[in-house]
Amino acid sequence: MSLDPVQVMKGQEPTAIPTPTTSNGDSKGSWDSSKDVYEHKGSTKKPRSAPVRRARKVEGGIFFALDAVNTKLRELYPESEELFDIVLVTYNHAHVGIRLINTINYHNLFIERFCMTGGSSPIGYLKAWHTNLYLSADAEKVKEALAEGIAAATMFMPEKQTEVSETQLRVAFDGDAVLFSDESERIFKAHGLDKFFEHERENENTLLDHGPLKGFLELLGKLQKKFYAKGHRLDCPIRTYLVTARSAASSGIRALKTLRAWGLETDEALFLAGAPKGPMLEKIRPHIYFDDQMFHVEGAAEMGTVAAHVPYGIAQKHPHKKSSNPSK
Amino acid sequence: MDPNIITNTDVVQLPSSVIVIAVSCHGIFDLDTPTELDTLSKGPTFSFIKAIQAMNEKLTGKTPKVTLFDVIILAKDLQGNQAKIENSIKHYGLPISRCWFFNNEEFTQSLKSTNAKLFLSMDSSDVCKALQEGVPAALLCPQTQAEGDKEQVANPFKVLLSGDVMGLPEEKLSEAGLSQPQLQTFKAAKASMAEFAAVIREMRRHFAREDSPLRVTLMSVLGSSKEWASALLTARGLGLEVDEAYCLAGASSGPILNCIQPHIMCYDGLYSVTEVPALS
Repeated sequence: MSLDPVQVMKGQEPTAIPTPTTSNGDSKGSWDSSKDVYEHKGSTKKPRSAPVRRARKVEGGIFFALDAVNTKLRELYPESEELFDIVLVTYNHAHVGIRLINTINYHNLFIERFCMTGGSSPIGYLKAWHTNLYLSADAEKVKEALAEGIAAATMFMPEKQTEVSETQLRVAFDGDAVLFSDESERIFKAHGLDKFFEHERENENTLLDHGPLKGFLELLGKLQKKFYAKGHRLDCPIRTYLVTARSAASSGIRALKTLRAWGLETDEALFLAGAPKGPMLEKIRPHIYFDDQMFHVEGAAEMGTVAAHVPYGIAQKHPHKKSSNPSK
Repeated sequence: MDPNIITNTDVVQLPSSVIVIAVSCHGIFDLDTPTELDTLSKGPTFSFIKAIQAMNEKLTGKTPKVTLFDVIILAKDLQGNQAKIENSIKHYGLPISRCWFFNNEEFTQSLKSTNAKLFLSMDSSDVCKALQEGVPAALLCPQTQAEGDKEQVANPFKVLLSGDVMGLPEEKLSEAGLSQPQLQTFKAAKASMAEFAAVIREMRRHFAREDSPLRVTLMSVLGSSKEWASALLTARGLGLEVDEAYCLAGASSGPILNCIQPHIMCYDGLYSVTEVPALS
């Protein structure tokens, strides 16, 4: 079976990245172009791995995890080309290219594909690469990609990252407006918590509509099944998590039913009933966490998790108020 | 048999410092659809001529006495269509100074007589022949653009360089199982790279960086990122400023080419090779 190449593009890293201190022949002093570096990570027919991390080796965690996944996949399915593939996409002009490669080599990052658009919009290229996920630090580009139907999220790097596994890729997702559409979120924002509960109860058996990252979860699931087929159910190198503010006993049921109807599952589902997500994420230690609300993204980053904001849905117009954190 | 040379009197005769470009007629005009009219309709590579025209005009706007290009049309086996081609050139107001008509057997000789610095054609075997003769040559790429001159002129003139020619060592290609003809074309392309670069450099020279109607793109399909980096360094060494660069490392080039939409493309003999895994 041939899957379309799954591509994840990781975009721009935030500017607060320390420049490497050792010299590499090429001057690194002006690595302020790091602002413009976009990374493209994805699982495609070809192998590759994680988004570019900066400076410290501990931040290379996701690369190693993705590489570990690819290695296992190649071992088990040597004929298959379904692997993670990272493409680095940048607005920079090509004269930055050499410095870029030197830096990537310096950090031992496994990126082989590059797309330097010299100022043109990368959106056309995202489509040409059949991008499955686009990560960037530039929210505008992420919104453009989402508008074109490409799963995308804005990256936020924590000041101090918690250590992550180098052998198991862990991806955590929020539910509403990430995996699912924002329809329930809308009810909550417009009519409050009680109405939300009522609505979810009434519609328990109605499937939620899909959200921008449903496709990515689906692809992760496909790869997982390949491992299961070869007897690696317990030690699967990919693990997925649902981390939602919904309650297990009530509103969470609809979420689970929807996932099941889609033939998807996450390895773990955490229903926080409104509790803050940061501490939970710190325990899970995902390599990346997707959420549609900046409040949660910031919370996650504060606790050392790499978080990605999905600028989709009603939450963008009505940001979460910090004072009230009701359970759902 | 002497080539039949038609001079376009609408175009002023140019000094010898200009860049002589020989372009194949096929593609510029639509020669396949039979027509009753005196003129031919535009072909898929018509926009190339318009882009050249735009560059010339931009330059003339700055320094009126300088013209950049002398474009010659090479019409192989088209003696029957002479009148139509002539009329079409005038009809569209194209900056073409001469039109050479000849037979297939006279191709290389005719090409050499033009003293062209660059030969462009949609036909890859013609491009191969030119390369073998030591004439820098590139593929003319059909443009998938909307109808109407406006769209075709607005885009900058895009040149696509082969990162594989510039960065990939030949030994790796034989390992990859390329055929002899492919290897020969690759070598010929490599040999004429410096001259090709000189032509591009000459074009670049007349325009400021920010406002340049010329855009140089480098794409490497087979080579790994190391070889791509090496290609970028080679380009720099040849005095070429590259605007966009892509390293596909074995990914299929079709969709990316569609995005880039180059007007002309370096033919490295690997054009049809899309499934070869990346060499590293």
